[in-house]
Amino acid sequence: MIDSGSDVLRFEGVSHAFGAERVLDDVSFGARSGELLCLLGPSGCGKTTALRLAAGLEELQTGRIVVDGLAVARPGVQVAPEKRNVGMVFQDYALFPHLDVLGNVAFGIRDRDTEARRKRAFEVIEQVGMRRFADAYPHTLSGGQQQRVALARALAPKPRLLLLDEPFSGLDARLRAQIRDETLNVVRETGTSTVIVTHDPEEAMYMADRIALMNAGRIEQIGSPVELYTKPVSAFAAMFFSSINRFVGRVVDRQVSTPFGRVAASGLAEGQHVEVLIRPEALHVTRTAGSPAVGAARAEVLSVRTLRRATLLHLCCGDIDGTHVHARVPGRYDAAVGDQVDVAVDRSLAYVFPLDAASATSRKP
Amino acid sequence: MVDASLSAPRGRRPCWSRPTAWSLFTYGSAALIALPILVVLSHVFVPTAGVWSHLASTVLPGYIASSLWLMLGVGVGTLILGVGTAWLVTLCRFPGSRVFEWALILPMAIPAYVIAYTYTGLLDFAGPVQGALRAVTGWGHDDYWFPDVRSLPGAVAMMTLVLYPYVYVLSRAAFLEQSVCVLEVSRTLGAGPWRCFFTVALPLARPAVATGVTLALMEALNDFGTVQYFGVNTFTAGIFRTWMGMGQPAAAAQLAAVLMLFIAALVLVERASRGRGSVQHTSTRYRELPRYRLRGGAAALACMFVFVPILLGFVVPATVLAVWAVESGPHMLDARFLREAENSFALAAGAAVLAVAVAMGLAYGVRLHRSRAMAIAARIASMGYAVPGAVIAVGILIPFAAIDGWINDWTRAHMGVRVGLVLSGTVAAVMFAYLVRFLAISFNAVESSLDKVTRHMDDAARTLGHGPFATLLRIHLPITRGSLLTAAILVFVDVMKELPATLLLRPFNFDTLAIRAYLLATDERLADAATPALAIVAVGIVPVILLSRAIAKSRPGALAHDGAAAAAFAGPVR
Repeated sequence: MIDSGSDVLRFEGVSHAFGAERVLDDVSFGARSGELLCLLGPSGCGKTTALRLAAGLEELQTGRIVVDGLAVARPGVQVAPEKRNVGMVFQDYALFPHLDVLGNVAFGIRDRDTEARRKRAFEVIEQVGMRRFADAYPHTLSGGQQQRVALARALAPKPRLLLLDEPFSGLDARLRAQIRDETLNVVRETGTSTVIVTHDPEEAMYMADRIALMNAGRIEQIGSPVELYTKPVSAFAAMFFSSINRFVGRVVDRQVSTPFGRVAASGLAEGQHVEVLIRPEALHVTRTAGSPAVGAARAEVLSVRTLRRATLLHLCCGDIDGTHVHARVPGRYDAAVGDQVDVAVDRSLAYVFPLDAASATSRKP
Repeated sequence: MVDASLSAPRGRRPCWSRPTAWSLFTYGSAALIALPILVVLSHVFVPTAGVWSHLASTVLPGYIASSLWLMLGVGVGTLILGVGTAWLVTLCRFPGSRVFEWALILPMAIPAYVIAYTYTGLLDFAGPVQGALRAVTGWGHDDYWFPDVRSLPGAVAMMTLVLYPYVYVLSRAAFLEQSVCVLEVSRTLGAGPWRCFFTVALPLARPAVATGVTLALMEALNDFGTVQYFGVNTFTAGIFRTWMGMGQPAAAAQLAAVLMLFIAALVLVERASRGRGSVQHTSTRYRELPRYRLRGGAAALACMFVFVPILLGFVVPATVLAVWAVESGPHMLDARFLREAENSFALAAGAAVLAVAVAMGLAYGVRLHRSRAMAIAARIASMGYAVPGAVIAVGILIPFAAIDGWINDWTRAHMGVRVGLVLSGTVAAVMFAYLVRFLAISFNAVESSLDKVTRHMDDAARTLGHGPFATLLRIHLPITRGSLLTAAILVFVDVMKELPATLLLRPFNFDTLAIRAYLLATDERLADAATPALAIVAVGIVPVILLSRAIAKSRPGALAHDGAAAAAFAGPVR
């Protein structure tokens, strides 16, 4: 499953609690050398704690953490953060207010020689495009500039592993996309193995080589963005990446019926209560031309919302019980409220999960 | 931009963490500083061969009565002056109110014993006031009655004049923090200025006022110079008499233990009066307070009410001291004065550096470990401010003398020589007392200044390869430099003024400016005492300037005030 030989960071059965509150529950995963791994999850799922444990900023309670083949934390052994050679970028950047940009970036460079330190600091400052601001103090910089300095500061000592904790959440939406691109470029250029914590699925899908989806202190699923999006292992995983159409039913003849026809429920017990989750873009909407196509259902358009690169349709499937569904169609879609349309389902993007107590608690992302 | 709460630590901390150099330092300091208090309290159980019962049947009731009357008088006096002046300058506008705002804290620069000496010289039979009275009226010395300054009411008046600024500063800050909206609402509901004051502003400010009065009363109980000079038999005076006069350290410690009961009661009353009143301000909108504009007679009255404390508490004594110093200065500014100034300066500077360094160690240790036990230990270490100097001195002298005894027994037995006094009667003992008493000031200032360094900055420095100590040197010290200096200055000045502990613990023939002023005044050489006293007042002006700058900045609309001075000042009773 995991080729643990090339893992630059590995969690093995790590659990962590603050008082009575359990924030990590037997977490195991690995981040491969040179890859960018996203720890994704809702707030409070333990992803930041995992990051802080990797950096050594929290003391390990149970399990083992390996960085670059060396067990930096295991019961009774705790390598101090300053000895781990792990770089970290904080959500609030935490730049040192009494040092200028050069001073901040040079802070962690281990070279004894002042000139070598200076040279390396300028090299990284150049890399993040902050050359002009080398002698500026943090409070004079904009949020985006501060983020770049924080990144440069973390990269300057050439860390084995770079950790970023919600690095873009302090920026407004427009700037965020730009800084995200820049960060990605710098990280790729340096080839640094990186773990990013984020609660934003879009950000994770955009940046990550692999995503580790977390929920309530556990790893829900780990894999490439496409895997997580197209092959979710749980209702939580399916629902976390987009709003989703959800239907409840029972398995009959290894199938579940939905307003759009039957969906295969392989591997589930006969008579089991299940939920069927269908992504909005899995609904193919076509104009009604005579009788509905095979496997399609008739629906009425309730509203049309034009988004940037897609159109969101609210539909009412009249023929069963007036189910309200959302469909996302690429580009602009010309339809008026009250129009009748045919809706077909791409069954590869429809997921069936057993409905039980466990999944009921983790329904909403 | 970024929510401030992001930098707060997540989750609850363990009660106990593995011992490190920092935690050992914290627990060690706490234990060391609690030592004198524990010694004093433990002496409740030491038999004193009838001395105690003798004291209890003769002087103890008098000590209790004088101390209570003193507390009552100073409490009421500082309450009225402090709250009254604070209300007038923050919520009314009248000629000079802006100047009074900072001038009202000037009396803080004058130690109570110094003001006592000046008024005695001014008002006693041979002084200029009574002299002028006789010259004008032609009365003889038996023809009129004149109040005697050297009395319990006199002591109350003297202490009130120099201690009311504690109440003033804290109530003023509290009035400023009250949101404008609350006051405006009460005014739209038809409450006039008086009702507004008694039903809204005062209840909201109650916790701050209680803290201010408590601080003033602690200072009153700590005072030795004034009560000794006025012949008022408070506990502090009694401790000195029992120790120095009767040579009964154990009995002195028992008196000190009773005095600690008073302090404990004070702290409890203060806690209780704040307890339920942990007032939450309902609105956070601040702007220029709508001041009541006073005119005519009201303005004149307000002016007078505010000016009289400044006049009597600072202008008059400072002028008298200056005149005396000019008269006696030439023969007082001798080598001896320079030596005393040097002693004072060296002690104060040493104690300031020590107190700030220990405070930094404590505050940083608490920050590193974030364990409850360490936070409690740090609190204990900064408790000394509530304990009168005389009590601390007794609590240090007894164990130090015992240790010296053991050392000498041992050296005589093993080496055949006596090494003499090693701990007691040395500068080390004096410094230890200062540390116990003034650590709270530096600790509160340091702790509040560390808030400027976010947790993530610590974390960033650590992930960038710097250990805890390197982080302290390269991040925390540079960022908090200004506040550390403020803390050091505050301790410096308090040590310059300190009298009772220095008097009990100083090495033989080791005089400071404060001791000299005290000794000269005791010899009724008041004019000669003016030179060292004026030097103390001049140094005491420094923190007053710092505080008044913080005050000027803390006007509404500019509420981000420099925390260090204010925290050090208000912190001790937290």
